[in-house]
Amino acid sequence: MRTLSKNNADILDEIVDLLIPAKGNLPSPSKINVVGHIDDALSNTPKLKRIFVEGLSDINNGKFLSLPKIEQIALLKKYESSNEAFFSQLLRHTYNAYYTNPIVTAGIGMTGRPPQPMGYTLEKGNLTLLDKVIKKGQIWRNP
Amino acid sequence: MSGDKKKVDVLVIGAGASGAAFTWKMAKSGMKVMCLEQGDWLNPSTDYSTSSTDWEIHRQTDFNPNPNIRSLDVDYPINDTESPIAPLMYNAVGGSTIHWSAHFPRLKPSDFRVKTLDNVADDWPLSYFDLEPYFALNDEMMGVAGLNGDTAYPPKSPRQTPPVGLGKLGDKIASGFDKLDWHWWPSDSAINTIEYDGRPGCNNCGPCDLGCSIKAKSSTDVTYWPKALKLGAELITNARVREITVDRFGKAKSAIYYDSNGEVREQNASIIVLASNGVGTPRILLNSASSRFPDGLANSSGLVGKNLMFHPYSIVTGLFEEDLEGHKGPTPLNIMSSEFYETDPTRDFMRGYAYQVVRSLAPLATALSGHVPWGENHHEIFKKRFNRTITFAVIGEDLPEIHNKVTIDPELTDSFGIPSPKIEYRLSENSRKMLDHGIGTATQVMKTAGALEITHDPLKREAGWHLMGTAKMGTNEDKSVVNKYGQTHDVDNLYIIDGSIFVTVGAVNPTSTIQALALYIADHIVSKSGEFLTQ
Repeated sequence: MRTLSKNNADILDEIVDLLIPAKGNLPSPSKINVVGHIDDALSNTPKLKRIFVEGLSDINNGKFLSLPKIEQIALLKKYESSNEAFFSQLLRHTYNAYYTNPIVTAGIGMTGRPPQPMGYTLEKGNLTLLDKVIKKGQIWRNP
Repeated sequence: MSGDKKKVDVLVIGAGASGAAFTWKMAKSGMKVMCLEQGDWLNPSTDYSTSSTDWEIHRQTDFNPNPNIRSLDVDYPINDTESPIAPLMYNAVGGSTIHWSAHFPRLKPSDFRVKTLDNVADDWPLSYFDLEPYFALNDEMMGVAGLNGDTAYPPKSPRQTPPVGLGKLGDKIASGFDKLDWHWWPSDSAINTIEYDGRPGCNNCGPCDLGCSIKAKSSTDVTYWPKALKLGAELITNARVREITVDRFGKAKSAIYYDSNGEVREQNASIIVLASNGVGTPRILLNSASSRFPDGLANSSGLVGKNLMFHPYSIVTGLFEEDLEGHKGPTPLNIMSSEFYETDPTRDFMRGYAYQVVRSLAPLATALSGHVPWGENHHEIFKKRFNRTITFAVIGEDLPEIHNKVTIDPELTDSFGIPSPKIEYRLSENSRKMLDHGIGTATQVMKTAGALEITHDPLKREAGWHLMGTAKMGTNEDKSVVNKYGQTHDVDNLYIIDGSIFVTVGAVNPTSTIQALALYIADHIVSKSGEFLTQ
């Protein structure tokens, strides 16, 4: 980690897995190093780093990792409304890292690759539905 | 000042949509033309993010359309705290066509005659049919995908390539229009769907707003500029214009600019042409105040910067049960509807609006949409939404109002110390009623097509793509800034060719009309060039 302490990284790893639990072929964030990506993002933005460090310190209060899962979730819900500045950034950067991972984008039904250079095949569509529009004729107003 | 270049016939400021078209026309006519561009070239093969897995994150950062968020060195900040709509733009060769969605509708004939037809605002001093040959020429130069026969327009010249595919999503929403018997038509799009003019067809990758790495999208860096340079036009990049100077006769003399090293340079020209968009152009004019023009250059009417018009947007999103493969295809390019475009006296607002049908959100945008909760149900809800939404952008015709304006902020500057603009804008009651009507009818289409859930944003903030009206065209020198040829009333060798000169704005994307106007003005200048070049 370039920015986060070991303790904060451990707490964050626990949190991101609660935000996006693993399901089927979709991995937990901790399995695809979401916290490492968040750490990279924080390293370029001092203001963001401060929000995270203060937010994690606040949410932890020395005991987050030792709480039962149900209490961890309750605490997160509490912070979602009481510390919106931190929580919104936490969600954004967790989603940023998770939904740009090829394992995840493949798991949601895409190809797991970026849009270029392959692109996609697109159906032309049913242009016969325009027949009624054409039959109605001109709708532009001639001045 | 050092290293100043020789005087040119025509100096263009801004290398975006209008500046590129105009410069090409000047070069083709044999004029010695130079263009100063604040930004630099982007290399489509290496500078766009769509070949990287983190492409969606670039929308939040270095490729965000809002210069205040992007905060690149080439941008200038804009004070938009007194506007519910944020002005958006891009500074590079190609200007905002780099990140635009490539919608390419024309204004309609009635848009040029709103005073005569509806007794609002003013008529333009020229008509749709005056511009028609220039629309056609511009379409040929840019390459337009579309389908001839749209009943919402007079006949157009043949489209260069077939329309962008509707996909499952387009078929779905077209069924709604069909059942209601309302107008819809595949969008005219400045994008190749098959190879045209040496550029390939679109491969339907999706995010046109992040730049097109295969050059299928017709940004002017890949359409007009290569041709203009081949004809001898000169393009100076990283040239940040501070002001336009005038000589002792009150004629435009030169542009003072900072070069890439931060050195101040002066470029003299017989004719100076502003193509810096509806915010950048009034900024330069107001920053060019002098003892002869104390209120800003070409501003004897007091209208430079006034009558700022955006196209206000409401967003209506429908959620459908089936997978519509909504990530496939150019995201914003699908269908346009003109069903409610023209004035209807039975409604409580004047003029009208259009819909643009937008494909589904990409994965990250879906997760961040505010509709997908974190926690146990995250994946289930995500799956129900991803690829299953259709969005209508309801685009309304804003009307000119004197209090909506661009001024110079007393404190804010860019990184070179050039004063920055401030935007003051209020949405009018007419526009609000218009958009509310649009939300209602868009909801009706969504329901008819089978949407399970419909949500809306009454006024999208990050939607100030179209910047218009701030140096209005007209015949009365007291009530306009330029004449029908873009020539300023006050300084006869100073022209404006961007969206600033729009009298009114219709309810469609303006780029096609901006470029047609630029070509029309270019023709006029060429015909009159003897007068200027002998002075």
